Amino acid sequence: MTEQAFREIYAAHRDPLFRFAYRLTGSQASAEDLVHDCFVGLFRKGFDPKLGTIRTYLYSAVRNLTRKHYRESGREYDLGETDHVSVLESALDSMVAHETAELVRFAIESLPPLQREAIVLFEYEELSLEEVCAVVCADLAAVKSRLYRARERLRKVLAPLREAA
Amino acid sequence: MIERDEELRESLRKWQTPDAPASLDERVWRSFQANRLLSNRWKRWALIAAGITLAVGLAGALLRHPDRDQGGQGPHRERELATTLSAAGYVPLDEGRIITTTGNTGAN
Repeated sequence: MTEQAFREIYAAHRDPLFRFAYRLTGSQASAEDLVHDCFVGLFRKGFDPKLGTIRTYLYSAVRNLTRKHYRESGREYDLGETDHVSVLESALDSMVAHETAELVRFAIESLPPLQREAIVLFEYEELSLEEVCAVVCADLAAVKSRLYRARERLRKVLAPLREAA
Repeated sequence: MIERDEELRESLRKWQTPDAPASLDERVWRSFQANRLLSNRWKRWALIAAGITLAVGLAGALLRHPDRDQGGQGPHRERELATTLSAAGYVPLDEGRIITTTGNTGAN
């Protein structure tokens, strides 16, 4: 990969990837590490267009690095979809006075990882359903199901916020 | 098809993320340059290694055929010489005495 090509890809994808990583990890330092490692992987291994678009490739790389990061830090990137709503509801009581952004952040971070990544990619990064499928290596039905459940939970948790608005 | 829920989306938008820090750019470019440097160094070493391997291979081939420069007929030629020996014209020595001398045979 030439330096020019790499510069163009980096400039186009740096910010979205950082936002994605940040929303998955909730940490600026971790997001920076993950995006750095993602680009290092890109210029070391290159990109095979047969695997899809560069956009889905990079999101997929960040996602995989996030899972690895969770494993190495001893926190399991839970592949199950455990119900975290009860935890969220109790935490919500103590968050009434907190800022709206913090509430949204907490709501997103409290989603099971598979739902979280789906909602971040679809709602924040505005990827199409097909692109989300490519990034998370799942079929359309699975992604739709994750999005549906994530939205239901978010609607429930963010209801006070929406009513106040 | 999943429809976009604008109301939910508006709520979600309230959580903004920080911008990617400048330190990320620095780290990525440092890694990129280091990787290129390493890659060039590897290429150089690979060329040197290939050159050495070729030279050793050639030297080995030449050593295995020391008389290659004489037409490559070394062993065959020896065999030919041995098979063309002939006793024709051979004259045995007459009977004679064999004189052996010891000591200084030079001029006294």
